[in-house]
Amino acid sequence: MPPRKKAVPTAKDKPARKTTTRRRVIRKKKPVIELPLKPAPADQQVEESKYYAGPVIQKFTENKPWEFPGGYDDNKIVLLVRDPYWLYAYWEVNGRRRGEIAREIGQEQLDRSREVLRVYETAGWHSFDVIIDGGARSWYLKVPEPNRTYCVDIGFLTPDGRFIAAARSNYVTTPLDRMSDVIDEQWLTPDWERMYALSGGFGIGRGSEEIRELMRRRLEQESSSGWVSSLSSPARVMGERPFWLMANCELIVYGATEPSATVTVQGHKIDLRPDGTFSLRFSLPDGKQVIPIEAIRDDGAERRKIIPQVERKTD
Amino acid sequence: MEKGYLALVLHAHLPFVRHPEHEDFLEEDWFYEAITETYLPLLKVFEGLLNDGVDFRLTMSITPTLASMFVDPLLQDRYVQHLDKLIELTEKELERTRWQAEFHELARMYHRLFQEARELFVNRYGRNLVTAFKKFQDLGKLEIITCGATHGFLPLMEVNPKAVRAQIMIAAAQYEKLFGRKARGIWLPECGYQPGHDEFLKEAGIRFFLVDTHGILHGTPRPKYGVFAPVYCKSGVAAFGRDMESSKAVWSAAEGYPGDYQYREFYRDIGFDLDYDYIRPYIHVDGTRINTGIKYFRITGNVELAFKQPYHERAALERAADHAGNFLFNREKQVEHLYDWLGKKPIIVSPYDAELYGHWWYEGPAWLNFLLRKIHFDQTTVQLITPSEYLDRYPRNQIVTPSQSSWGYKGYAEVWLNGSNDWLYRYLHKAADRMVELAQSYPHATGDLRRALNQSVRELLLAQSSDWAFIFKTGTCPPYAYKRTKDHIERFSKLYDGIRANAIDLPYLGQLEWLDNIFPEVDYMVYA
Repeated sequence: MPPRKKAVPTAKDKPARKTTTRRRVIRKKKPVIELPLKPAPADQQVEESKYYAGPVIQKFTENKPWEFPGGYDDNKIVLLVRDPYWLYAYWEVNGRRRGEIAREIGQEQLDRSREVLRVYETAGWHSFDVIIDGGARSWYLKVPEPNRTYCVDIGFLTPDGRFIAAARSNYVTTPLDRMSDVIDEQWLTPDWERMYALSGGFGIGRGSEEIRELMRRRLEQESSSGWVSSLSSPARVMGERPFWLMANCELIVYGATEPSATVTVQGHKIDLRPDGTFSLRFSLPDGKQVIPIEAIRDDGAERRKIIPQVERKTD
Repeated sequence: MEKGYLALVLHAHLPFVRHPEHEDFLEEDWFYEAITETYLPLLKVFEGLLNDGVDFRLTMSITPTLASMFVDPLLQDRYVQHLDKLIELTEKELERTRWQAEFHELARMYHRLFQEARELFVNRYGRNLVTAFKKFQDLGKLEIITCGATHGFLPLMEVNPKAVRAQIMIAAAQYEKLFGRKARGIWLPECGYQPGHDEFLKEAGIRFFLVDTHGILHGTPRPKYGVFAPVYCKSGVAAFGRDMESSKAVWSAAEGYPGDYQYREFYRDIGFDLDYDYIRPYIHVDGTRINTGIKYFRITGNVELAFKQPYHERAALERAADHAGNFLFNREKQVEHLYDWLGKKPIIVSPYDAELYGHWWYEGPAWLNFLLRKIHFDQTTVQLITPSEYLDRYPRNQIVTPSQSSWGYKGYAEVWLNGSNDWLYRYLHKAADRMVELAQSYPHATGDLRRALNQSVRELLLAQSSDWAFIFKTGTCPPYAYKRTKDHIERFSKLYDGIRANAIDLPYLGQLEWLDNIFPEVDYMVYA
């Protein structure tokens, strides 16, 4: 057993405990997957279609619902580095290993033991313990020193103070959070602090994230798929704000004539629908609009003119 | 004679958002919007520079997921349909705005923009933007680099080095196939570097990668030139560090150029502004309002969205020219100062998300255009360079092991490892371990077994995208990220169980090959 230094993190350092793996249940219909009989040719011209009609398809329904499993009946612990001062561990102790330990120390001792993470700094095998309660399966660990190699045992602390390891993690090394103490004499500079400052060393961890997060948040807010779950309301884009009102006016001009006629509105020629009807929509600003509408028969022999006038005044 | 170098690096990335099972899928719009607003405008800038004989150098990562979408016929066709609807909408807008000159002008701008986009995409580039960008690489103007296969955050995969290696080897193989040569550089996803991963880069034939500032500054031993010269890892692969000062000029929401009041306001889009019945055919099929990309207002000032003023393209472009001049002036001063202080020519590495240009900062491509022209015509202090060129010219560099780091908030792994997303890793790691187990158990598979093994790789890779963890972090209820993670882990698990039970569900496998068709040539033995 390596020498051991008690260094239980203070209350301030202690991260929020996680009791269960986070899960979200998404209620939705069974997805209907459409399987093509053959892939669409690469150059297939489909621009003319308003919506993609797709190749010939057959229906395929995924029938068995699936959820993330609670575990894999593994006996292991995995350690990840969050930053120079924090590690993250997740683990699983399976029944087989638990049985072995019960045989070793007795079931009654095991029942009265507490689940413990023993964190080792592997250079000197100093360690500290973190007591795990409430069936947590993962934990954030504050470690004292950057640029050190750590590993963690998940195990049981018996009432008489014995520690029985159930699994040992991988080894991880935390990064430095400052300039290295190692200097290569072939590559010296008269003023390391200045080099550090000129390189932007005092602004580390800032910069890109701000805008990237804005960009990404926008994508989520405005582009979440309706079929996945409830949509974010467009109003959320505006953020929180006091009571408000917005109003605007548009004007619709519509009519009909012979399908073969030529129609101009305010002097601009417009397209008629096949049945000779037309409909135009204008954003209507304050002021007076004179809207001459003129139809000319296809042989040019006859013309009709209607001239509505509209005035908008906003107080 | 130049006194230093500027390496502009654009990181172009989108996760693999391809949903053949739905006729209209909102997340695919990320891709279509980025084509219209970022990728085509960048190509237009490059074409213009070429026509005008302006020499330039730019580095751009095109991630394997984005490249896969660029060459996908279904998405290519859907993009053209998407554009056609926008063109139809702008035609209506031309009419609707006839009595309001300021908006009518803008409707014309968008009408022109979308028509140009269609012309470029369909006729000029034959719908394939990989070949469009490749042209500029072949001309020596653009250095295209690769990225992790699906943008997996590599330091959090460290527990299974074979999974890290696979992200790199699969990316390198795809790059070689699409770009006709080996990748010389890589953008490590999220600039996430873990000492030792450079060995995999070396194996893939990659010469350099990019890290955030502190990756170099906190390297061991101390880097003599800070971020103003690359360093070699022990493997011989070079690392270039991000310059903070030039980054901030563009990135910072408060001080950066994109917040200027003349620039286009992102959040006033006619998809939200106009009468529902009118806009209904151009929003999501289920009736949800979405951004159309047609935006008529400028940032105006610190005012509510309702009080934004109409956008003036000309005024905005003039401001972009001013900002390009300001950026160049600052780089000249920076280079002169560093040249004197370091006693050698510094390299300033300025990496940005490509989608920042055009998509977020509408005038970004114009700014870049002005900047590249000014660098060419107006001065001699700063010369544009790519990392490869720099290494060719200056092969002697200090040997330093960069520090574990990322370009995320706080500089390490917290963005992708926190209370909102830490639960993912239990499943991602398990799937990676199982993939290695499968590859080692079935080393010479053929036929349907081989198909199932290769599809397992695709599902694992897609689950590993750092985008999902990022979305969990930034949003309160990100159902799409959850769905994607769950779908791919589920599909992987079912394939694994089928292979292990010697009972592969062939119709199911066929369905997955059709749904998740990324990396058609992948070989599962990369995990052995």
